[in-house]
Amino acid sequence: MKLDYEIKGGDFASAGSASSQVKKVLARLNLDPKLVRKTVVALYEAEVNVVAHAWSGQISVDIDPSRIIISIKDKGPGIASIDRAMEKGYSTASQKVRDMGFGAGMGLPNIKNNTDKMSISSVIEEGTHLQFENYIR
Amino acid sequence: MDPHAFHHALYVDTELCTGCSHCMRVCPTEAIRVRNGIACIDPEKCIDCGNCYRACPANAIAVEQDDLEKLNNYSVKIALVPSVFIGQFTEEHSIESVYSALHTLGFDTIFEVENGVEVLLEKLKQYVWQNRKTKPLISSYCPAVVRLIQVKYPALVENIIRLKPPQDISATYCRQLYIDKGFTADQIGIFYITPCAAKIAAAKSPVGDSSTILDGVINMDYIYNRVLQVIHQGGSDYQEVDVVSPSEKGIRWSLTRGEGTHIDGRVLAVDGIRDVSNFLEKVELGHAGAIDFLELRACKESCAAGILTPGNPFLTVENLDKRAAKKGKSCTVYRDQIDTYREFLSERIETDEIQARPIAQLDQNVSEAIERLQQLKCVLESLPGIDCGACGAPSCHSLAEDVVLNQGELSQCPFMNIKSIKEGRMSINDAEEVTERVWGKRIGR
Repeated sequence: MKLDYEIKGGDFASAGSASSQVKKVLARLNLDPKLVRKTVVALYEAEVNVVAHAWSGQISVDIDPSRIIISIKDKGPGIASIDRAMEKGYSTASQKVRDMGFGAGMGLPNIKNNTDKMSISSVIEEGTHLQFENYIR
Repeated sequence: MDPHAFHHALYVDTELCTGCSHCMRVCPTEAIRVRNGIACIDPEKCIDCGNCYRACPANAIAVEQDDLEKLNNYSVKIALVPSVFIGQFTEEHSIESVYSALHTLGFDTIFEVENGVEVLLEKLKQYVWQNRKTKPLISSYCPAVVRLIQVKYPALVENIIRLKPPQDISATYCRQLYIDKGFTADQIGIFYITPCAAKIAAAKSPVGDSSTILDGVINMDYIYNRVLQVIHQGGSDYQEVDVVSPSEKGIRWSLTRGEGTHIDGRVLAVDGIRDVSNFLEKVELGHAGAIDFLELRACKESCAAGILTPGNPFLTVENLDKRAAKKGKSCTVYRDQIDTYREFLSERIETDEIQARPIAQLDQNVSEAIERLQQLKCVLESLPGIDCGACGAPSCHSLAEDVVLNQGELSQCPFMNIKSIKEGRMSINDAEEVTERVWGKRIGR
């Protein structure tokens, strides 16, 4: 089953609405509550990343009985060094974003910690494509 | 009966219920449907929070209770009195007169529940420190909140602090005290005066503990009336009144921030079942940051607003604040005998593991559940989306859920019916029949 959501860059007030909806959907499927929690925590981080850095984004969630695949594609500045972005505490977030309590530089490592498989690709001045999977059972 | 089934203290009095659906609209777990003109509560979903009881204009939501007659089965009759009960009375009625009226009503010993807080707080601080890596640790004090987490936030069940509430600690203490005085356990009757339905339900089937330690539960509104009757009918002639007042901390324990103030670290207190629910959403999303301790209470103003408390919650809080301030100023530190049992009680303070009882899943089997979820999405798209409740379910979403789980039918929706009639798939008579199956005969009764 497939689900799609839109993310608006800069709309911090709505950040988390997609993960909240995905959580409600996953709760319906009698999955391990820990798996649900990990998945939505990862998605929430990804959503905030798009809101904080990019102009717009699209989430697509694909659920089958063996796994949950989530893909987040954004139109934005891209990530210059993915290796550095994967470091705990590294952030390119602007002061304005940090002042709002976001941009602690934990986003990507936190997503990695909460998922079974993760891949990321990025093109400068075009955007970033993040995809992660969590296996069911 | 399934030994793990929830015991419920709330039920619908079908004689009084008019099927007005007020309760259905306020239930935080969407546990209520109207069928044949009567509200029906789903026992799997109900958390005994009492929102329905507050909303019912016909007094048709009833709360079970034990009769004072039950006292006669015991040689030692103990009343466990929570501080919010004392908080029902203004200075016009002294604490002594309230105690003495309780004696007249048949209790030999009156013990204030929050005396158990002295033992609990020490263990709680220890527990929070030892489990500081679990964030947030969630207080198990409010049984409606514990049940809410079990059914709606299963991922957070392991965050619930596995310590017994003060009434269980005080009950354990009272029983042991009288056993040591030479009585057998079954000669001792311990009755808890409860401010709410959730605590009755918890006493009858405690979460995370297989044995009940209370022998009976008396509803606060009932005993309040009886106490005032005794006082107004010339008072009690009972001479020896031994008031062992809880500490300042104990007196405020059941109020909002009553627990939280004593815990170090990042502590938040949330009260009111809707706000608690919304906050837990955030916590489950990892959205609330690292919180050390969460005090969550189902009622706004916590136990001062329990559904069985007769007084105004704000006045109760005021009364208790006054009592706590007085207690705080008093220089004599009265150490009750409970202190000599500290070790005994501390060893018995932990509860068993708390089980999740999720209600959201559409099927046990994941593939089947995905199938049903797709159906649910389809059904939902065909419904009007105004959550009018005319189908006997609280929202379009809950009707859609009932439909895919074969617990309801699309034709319960009047909008769907108009469409069906227009398209020649249903007769007016059929539509009337469906409406009556939900609401009973309401017009021209």
